[in-house]
Amino acid sequence: MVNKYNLPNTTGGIDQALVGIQESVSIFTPMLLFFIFCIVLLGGVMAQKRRIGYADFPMWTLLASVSTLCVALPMTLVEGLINPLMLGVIVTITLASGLWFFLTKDRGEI
Amino acid sequence: MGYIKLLGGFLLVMIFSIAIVSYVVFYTNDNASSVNLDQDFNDFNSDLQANGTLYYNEVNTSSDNIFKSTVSEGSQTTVSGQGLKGGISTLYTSVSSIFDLISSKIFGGDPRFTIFLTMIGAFILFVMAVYFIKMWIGANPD
Repeated sequence: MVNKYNLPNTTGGIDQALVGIQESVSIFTPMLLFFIFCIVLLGGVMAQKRRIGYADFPMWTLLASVSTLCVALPMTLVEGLINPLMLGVIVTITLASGLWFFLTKDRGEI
Repeated sequence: MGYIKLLGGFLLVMIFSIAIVSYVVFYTNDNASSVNLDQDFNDFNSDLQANGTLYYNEVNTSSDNIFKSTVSEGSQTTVSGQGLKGGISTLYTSVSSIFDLISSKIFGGDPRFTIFLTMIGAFILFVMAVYFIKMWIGANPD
């Protein structure tokens, strides 16, 4: 069987396997973090909309951003898994979603 | 959103930014991270903390002016109105710092993409102007 990418070394631990995947497919970590972001955002929005009839998009965007940041920070401890540019973009999106959240509250809300 | 909630929102934005950026900077420093954060983050962290200190001092001064303000007999107007002016300049610099980081990290510092930031900034200024006018003509500023 011929693969079009180098198979990761799975005998060195999960982190080495992840680094191997990242070296072969450079979009792997950004897509993984985007997946986490979307899971929190869409899951929260859908659940809130089903329960109370409307969805607080700024709040769930902020929660999704912070969740993604919390997952991305431990990734910096392994070399080759995430680069400074990606981390910078995540931090910036977190701050921008915080700006959106704190400036869109109507009266009676937080 | 009224005037007080707008100021409160800006204050919370500043505190939130300090918390997030300090968390990232100190996490990567304390845990021997393989990712070296560039100088932009350290500069942004220092700027935000300086803004927070300045805001704190301005609010203290403004609050002190409210307590010291006097009403002359028969006029029913306060001599000092500093309380509603506190912290505007530092809030502006804090938000512009966030915009600088967005421009640098998401748009790569490319001036052609800053039209988005200009649009967002213009919208925020428009909303602020609307609320200032609304407050000026006597509407309830919350």
